[in-house]
Amino acid sequence: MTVTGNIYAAVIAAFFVGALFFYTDSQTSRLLQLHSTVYDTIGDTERLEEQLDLHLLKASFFIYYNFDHTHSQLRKIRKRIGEIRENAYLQDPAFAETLAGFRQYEAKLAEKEELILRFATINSLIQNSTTHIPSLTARYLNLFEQGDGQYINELSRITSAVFLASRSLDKDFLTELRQGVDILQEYHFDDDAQARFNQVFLSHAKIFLKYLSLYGDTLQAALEVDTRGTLHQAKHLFLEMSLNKADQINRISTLLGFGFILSIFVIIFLLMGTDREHKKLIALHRKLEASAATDTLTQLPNRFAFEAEQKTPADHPTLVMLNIDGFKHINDFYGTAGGDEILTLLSKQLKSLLHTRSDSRLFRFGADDFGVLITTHENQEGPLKLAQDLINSVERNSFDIHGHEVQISIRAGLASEPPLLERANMALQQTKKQRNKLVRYDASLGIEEKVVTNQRITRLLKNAIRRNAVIPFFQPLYNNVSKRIEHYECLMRIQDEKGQLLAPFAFMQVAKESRIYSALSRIMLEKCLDRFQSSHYAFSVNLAVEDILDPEIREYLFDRLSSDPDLGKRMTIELLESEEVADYDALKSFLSQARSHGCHLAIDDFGAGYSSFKHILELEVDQLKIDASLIRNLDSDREAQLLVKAIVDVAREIGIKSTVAEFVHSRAVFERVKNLGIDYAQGYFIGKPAEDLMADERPVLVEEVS
Amino acid sequence: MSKSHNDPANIKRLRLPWRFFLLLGGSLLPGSTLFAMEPIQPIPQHVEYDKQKAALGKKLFFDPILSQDQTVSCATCHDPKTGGADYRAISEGIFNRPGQMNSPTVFNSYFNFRQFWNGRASNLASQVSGPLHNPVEMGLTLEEVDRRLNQHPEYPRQFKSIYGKPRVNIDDMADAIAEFEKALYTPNAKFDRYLRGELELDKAALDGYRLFKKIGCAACHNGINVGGNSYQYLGAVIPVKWRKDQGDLHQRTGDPFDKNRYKVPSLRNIALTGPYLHDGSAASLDKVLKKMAFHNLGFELSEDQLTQLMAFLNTLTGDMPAILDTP
Repeated sequence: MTVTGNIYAAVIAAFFVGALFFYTDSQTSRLLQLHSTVYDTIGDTERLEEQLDLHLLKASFFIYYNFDHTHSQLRKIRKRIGEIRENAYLQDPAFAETLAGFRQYEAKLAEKEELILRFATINSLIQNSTTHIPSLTARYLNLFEQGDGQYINELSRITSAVFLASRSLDKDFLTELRQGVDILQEYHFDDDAQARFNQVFLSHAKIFLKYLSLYGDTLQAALEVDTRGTLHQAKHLFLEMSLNKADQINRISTLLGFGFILSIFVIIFLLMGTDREHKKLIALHRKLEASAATDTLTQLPNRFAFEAEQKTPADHPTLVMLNIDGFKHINDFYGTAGGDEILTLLSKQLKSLLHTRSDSRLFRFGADDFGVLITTHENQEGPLKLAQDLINSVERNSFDIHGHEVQISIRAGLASEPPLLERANMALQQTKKQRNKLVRYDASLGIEEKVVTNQRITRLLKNAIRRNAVIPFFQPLYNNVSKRIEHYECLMRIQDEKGQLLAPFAFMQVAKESRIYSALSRIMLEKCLDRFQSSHYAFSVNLAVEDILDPEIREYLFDRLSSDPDLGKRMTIELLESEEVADYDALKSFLSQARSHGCHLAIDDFGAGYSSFKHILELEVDQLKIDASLIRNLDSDREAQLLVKAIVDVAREIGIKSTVAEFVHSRAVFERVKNLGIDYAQGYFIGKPAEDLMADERPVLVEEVS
Repeated sequence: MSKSHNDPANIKRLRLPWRFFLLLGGSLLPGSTLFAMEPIQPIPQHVEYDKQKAALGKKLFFDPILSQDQTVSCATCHDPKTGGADYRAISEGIFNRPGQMNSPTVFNSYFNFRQFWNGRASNLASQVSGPLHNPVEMGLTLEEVDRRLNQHPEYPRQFKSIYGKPRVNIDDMADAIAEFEKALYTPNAKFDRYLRGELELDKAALDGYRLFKKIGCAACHNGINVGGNSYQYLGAVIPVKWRKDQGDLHQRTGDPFDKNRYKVPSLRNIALTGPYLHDGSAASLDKVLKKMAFHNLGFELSEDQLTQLMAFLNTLTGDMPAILDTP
């Protein structure tokens, strides 16, 4: 299990234990609440029982008393005990004994109630007779004015005994009462009324004899039924069990508390472990980063380090990018090891040159590119001067490579605005064009725009291929002798998305650099061949050396020419005079194969470059197309006239079959072209390049109103 | 000045001594606030009960289907028109079979500590099944009651809406009848109003009440129901003849102590509930008074005493239970 897994497990355990803890806690407080309810109810019951006894004693004290009190008291007690027995707290099996205790109490209470009811019956008898005996005595005196003194004396004795017995509930006084009763029973009355009175009096007195002892016992028994003891016992059981349970809960709570704290400790321990791991990983990561950011050859920080540093750029930094001139040749000459040694030595020299400057840092960006990042914002000239100093110092120095003294020259591009690397690099590229060792980037260099334009054109070309917007245009060549249009030059046009037509000069450079060129050539070739297959005109196609060396294009061309022999005879291949040809053999082999199909060869833009006639002779050129720069002012430029005449003459001498004047844009030029004996005229005066061939083979040549 | 007269604080100050005298005077009026000490307590003016159950119970109370031959209902022997008791000395059950006892009044029976003459039912609901199964009263088996109630066109629906059980059961029936009986209380008897200090009793009634307490009636007849809260002997002083199976406590317990021992009947509405005593042997109020005075107190009442006691007892007649007026 991973450390993180352990932490999760510990957190879950802590959560679980914590939740359990809180659950137990809430249960505890619920139990506590129930417990105190039960406890309060027991207290209530005890109080009610006291009141019940008080009612009992009051009933025995007063001659009449409302018995409802006793019953309502009993009802209340029963209700309380019912509540206790229903209480959720006591449903726990642990309280079975407690509940049994309360049931026992209820049984005792029933026993007590029975005694109370019995007491109530006897009480009424006793109370009534207690009132009647004295009042009967008084009545005797009223009823029988000539009463028997002895009899009255007996009545008084009995009354007194009844009073004593009823107030004391002492059986001893009953003896006296019994004696009195015995005496009264012996009396014989002649008077019926007196006899009846004696009977009534005796009945009441006998009630005492019969019931007083039972009365006292019943009251005593009712008060002494051990309800309180039973209730106390039940209460005791309840409290004991409660305490047990509280202890149990307490133990669980403590255990859970410990569990919780333990899991927290485990989490802390694991987190500390993770932290240690984390620190190790950070150290490792730093090490890796440092090694990734250091150039292994020179031990300088590399481009990665530079970029990392650029994420928190200093104020106004300047990057000086240095590059060794012709390092490829040095590598070729001294071998890679030699090149590496030069790089190492150069880095050491640059380091020592910069070591006094704390505001600069040296990088190696790759190959022979070095960079100096200057972070002090002095003046504009500071970095420029530093760069110049570096160039001078390096170029004054010479490096010892295997005993050879090697001198190198370096260039520097400066940039002070982000993106530093790109801009310094652009400035560096610019040094070659400006033939200057040191260039500071500035937006007017136009490099950026060019890049943007290049990207735009590349996109446009790719689009054009996809949209089938590579369109061949055709410009007529006028035969000055036959005065007819016999020949067309095929020119590539690209239609952009807005319908605008673009001539090759607008995109050819980009096309060649972005390798779209061959696709364009292939499409152009196919379309031109298609177009002229079904016509009788001769036609020229421009091919660059790249096309000729492209096996695919070559194969396609010769396939087409093989399948239609007539096509090759009408076809002229135009090569640019300015084209640098690296592999003459390949070119020658191509041309001979083309010639075998009847193709002709023309040199385009002749006179613009530096090509020698020697090359032309070697290539067995059929046609020279004299460059626009010579024709443009032919009507007025004397030098041009001489030069063109010389070219025409030489061409004729060396067996070139025909000459073409390009850029014939006016009648004056046209006339001069004819006079100079040039075979063909081509230009706006004859006809602009167009998507269709000219309708008229014999055009009436008139100057356009411009 | 006129302003200060209208000042509520002034009025209060003026009234204060008057209030004091009123209170003092009021406390001295007989019976006004002192009834707490009296052995008899007034019937509450309002008793809380479940209206729905009581309405259903009322229907059952008057319904003769609860007797075997469908001639007898609860109301046959506990007729509201005769004070919730029977006008006959001994009630008759189904097929005119004579019963054993005089029907005690159903009015205010809720306040009795037990039910039946011998107190064998501890509450009203358990009392209900007694007459129901008694072969001479209604004479039905449990199964038959169950069948009749559940086949009734209305009861099953009414019981279901109140008790929420799919079938009518006997306990719920008893509960409904008991709830109706709880509602059969008769408040605002003249004597209760006297106890509450709402009116004065005439001299005869007042003398009667004093006599009631003096000669010992109150020793047994006390509490809300003026009785119904203890067991006592009939013939306490001059014994009456004891016979077996006369419905006393002895019949229930077999204890010699319980011979001729009965639950003390309530004296509430006594003017309406004759004939009297457990066997209906006293046809009129004066007869029962004489009988009780002789056997339980040991002497004969004078005419004056009889008149006074009757005057008092007549003040114990309360309002007819309100639930009887509701349809």
